[in-house]
Amino acid sequence: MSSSVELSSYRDQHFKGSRSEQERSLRDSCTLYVGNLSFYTTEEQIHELFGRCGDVRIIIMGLDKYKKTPCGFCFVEYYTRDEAEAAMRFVNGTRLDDRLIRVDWDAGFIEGRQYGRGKTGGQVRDEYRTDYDAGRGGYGKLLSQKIAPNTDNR
Amino acid sequence: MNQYRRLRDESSEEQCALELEQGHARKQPRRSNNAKETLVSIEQLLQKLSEPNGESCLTELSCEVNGLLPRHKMEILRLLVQSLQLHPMQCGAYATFVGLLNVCDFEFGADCLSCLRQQLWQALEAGEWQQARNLLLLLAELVNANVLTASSMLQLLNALLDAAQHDCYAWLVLSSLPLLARELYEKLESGLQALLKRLSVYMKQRCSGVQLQLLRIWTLSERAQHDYLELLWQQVLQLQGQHWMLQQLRRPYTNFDGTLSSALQHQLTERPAVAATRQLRYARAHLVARLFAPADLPLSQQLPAELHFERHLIDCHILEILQSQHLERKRCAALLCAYSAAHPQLALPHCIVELLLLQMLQLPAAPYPTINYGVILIELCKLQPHSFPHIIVQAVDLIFAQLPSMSVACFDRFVDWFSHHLSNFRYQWNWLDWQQCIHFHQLHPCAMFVRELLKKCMRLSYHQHVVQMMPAAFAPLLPVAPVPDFKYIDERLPGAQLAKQLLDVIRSKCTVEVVGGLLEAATELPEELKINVLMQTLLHLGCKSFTHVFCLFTKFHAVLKLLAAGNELNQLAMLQAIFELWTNNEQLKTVLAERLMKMRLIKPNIVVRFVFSSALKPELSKLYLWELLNVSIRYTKQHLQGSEQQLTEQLECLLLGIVQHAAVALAKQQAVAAPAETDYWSHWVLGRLQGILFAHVELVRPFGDKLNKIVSDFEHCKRLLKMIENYLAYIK
Repeated sequence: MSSSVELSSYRDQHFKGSRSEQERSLRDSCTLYVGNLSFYTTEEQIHELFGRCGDVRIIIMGLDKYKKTPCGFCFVEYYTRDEAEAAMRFVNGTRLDDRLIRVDWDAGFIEGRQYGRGKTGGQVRDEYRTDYDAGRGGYGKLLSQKIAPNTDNR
Repeated sequence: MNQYRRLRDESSEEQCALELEQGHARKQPRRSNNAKETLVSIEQLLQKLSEPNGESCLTELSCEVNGLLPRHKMEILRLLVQSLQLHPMQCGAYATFVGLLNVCDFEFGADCLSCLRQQLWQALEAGEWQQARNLLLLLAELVNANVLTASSMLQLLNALLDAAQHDCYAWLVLSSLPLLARELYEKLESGLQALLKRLSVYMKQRCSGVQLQLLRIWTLSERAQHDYLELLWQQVLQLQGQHWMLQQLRRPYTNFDGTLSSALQHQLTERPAVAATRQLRYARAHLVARLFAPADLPLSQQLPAELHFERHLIDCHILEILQSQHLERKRCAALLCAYSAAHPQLALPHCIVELLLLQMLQLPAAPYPTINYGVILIELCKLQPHSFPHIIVQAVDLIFAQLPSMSVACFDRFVDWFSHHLSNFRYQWNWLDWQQCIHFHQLHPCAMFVRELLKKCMRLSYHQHVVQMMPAAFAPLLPVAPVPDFKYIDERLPGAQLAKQLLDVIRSKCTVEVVGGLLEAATELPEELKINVLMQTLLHLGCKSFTHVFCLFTKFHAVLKLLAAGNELNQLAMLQAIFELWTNNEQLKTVLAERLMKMRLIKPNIVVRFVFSSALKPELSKLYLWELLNVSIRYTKQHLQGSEQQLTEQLECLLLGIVQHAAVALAKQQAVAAPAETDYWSHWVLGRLQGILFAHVELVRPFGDKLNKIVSDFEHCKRLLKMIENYLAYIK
């Protein structure tokens, strides 16, 4: 079994720098990416949960590029690596707003990264989803565009 | 027995053959390559020994090792010691392993003992008590595995008692003696009796601390809370009554009696070097509490009585898993489940929940953060949804019933844990079982618990959610909607004019200078009012989220800094504005006050002064204000710059300030309050003060005397004096 603070296989494709530089910043980072949040989960709730693992320096909410509303992810930065490791261990895969949230290492926040990278403004994963997820705007964006004309006709 | 052994041996041979078959390809290059791979596989096998029924690989392991012995003795010994530290309760298996090697290679046995002895000396000298105990457990089992003579182990235990300047030494002897006591009983009974006599003398003259009163989770309770050493002593005496027959212990060496008895034994000659003069860090005394009574356990399962040594062994097994795996919650839960599955006749799930919860509540502090215990319990519930959730319900109900006498520091941790636990299980709970607390005094611990719990649940979810999940009857205990209250909406208030101007210019994205100019121009208003107006306006505009308000604070930092710099009244006014606007939002009050500290606008001692201001007196019985005090201590510790000496001075000043203020508040209360039994307010304040002192034992120790000086001015506050006196006796 691997350790819960190890790096996951995900690598940010927009990282400016070589793969080894990226690995190094991930290993020293005090910043976490938090995913699978409900669009309705607030910064205050995230602070309450992550504050139980240490002193939170800052939370940056992920926003829809166009609507500027929360789109289901955020970055949490701590003051020390130990605190961030505690959050990896004790928060990753537990529930917030009744959703199993994902916590992963992040190489550090850079302005612009708070916005969703999908075509429609949200996260890419919400474009291709085929399930219905009430906490994340219903069906996936592509699917709901297909469904939408039908509902209009009714 | 013989038949059993034969079966046993066959199964190990089978296992051996199976491994050989599977590992054929893997083993091929190993022979030609180097020994590295073999060492890795030895490490894996040693690891496997620690698993339930892991003894089956003993034969294989000793086969593997035999070939390597001459060249890799040191590595093998290192692996052995390393495994022992991770899985001390498997010392029987490790001892058998050493025993089997000793049969073929007497010299290895000697080297192993000399290595263990050296490690033990080092551990004793460094005050690594846990490590020393683990080594002693293995040495004791080496007697049973026919490697070490019983008499030399007896000498070693006596030597440790000679040195007993502290309970730690007695604890080492009492922990390891039972493992070889049967052997001593059969061969050296007089020596065993003499050792027990010495232990009995030690236990009688030992001043079992009055100060331990302070460490009780429950001040009045039928549930047992034992001094750890006294409990162990009672358990050892009970085992003596059983003629030292241990049932709960794996004794793998009995399967190899025939082989092992052919070996020659070694002696330990040297006496341990006990550092008599050096200042050692001794393990602090603690209490062992119990939650479940025998009647609380399922009919089909049982547990050895709490005064039985078997219970001690079960606790040690569970604690070993917790200690080595607490950071990996999934692995930890899986190992705990495996341990309990290996003993289906025992109520181990109850024992696991009890140990986890009570260690989490342990005073003065738990070894790991509260959320660590929480996530392990969550994983256990996921792995065994038919047993653990029910046991947790049972445990929570038992703790709830005893809240009235629970130490406040434990109460707070219980609130923290349970709110998080509920948030992971859709907040499902049989609230109606607790309905009686609606009718209690509003500061009664049970009513207070539900109120604080719901506030924390609200922080993890949202107000509407909490309102909906609760039965209607609980309305009096529900949190108020945490909405802002911007008072300058009322245009007749002095300052409303300025507020309106500020709102307009800030909304139109003005510069800092414009805001500064407006404030300066409002000469008719006193400065504190101006601050109130500015702060309320910023808070009102930024009320959507932390990010909004933090951005505004950052943008207008220069103006705020100018107003706050060196002026304590202005800093108090800033806090006052936050507490007015967010009067019903405890989370924001704490987070924003912390923010102002981190922005270096207000000083931590101002926060302390504010928290104890007379206007906040009714709030002082609530958890969040004490969280804020803890936050200001954390801030002083981690964020203030300066030399180490300056920091220490500031921390000392802050902590003494808290004690001084709390003492004044308690004294004032005593003058007006009802008799002590119903004075819940003092219960909360005194308890939380104790909580803060417990959380910072290491910080307080150097200036403990000054606490005495402070409280000596409050002679009539008997409860406060008693608490400080006990606390000082404890940290001494």
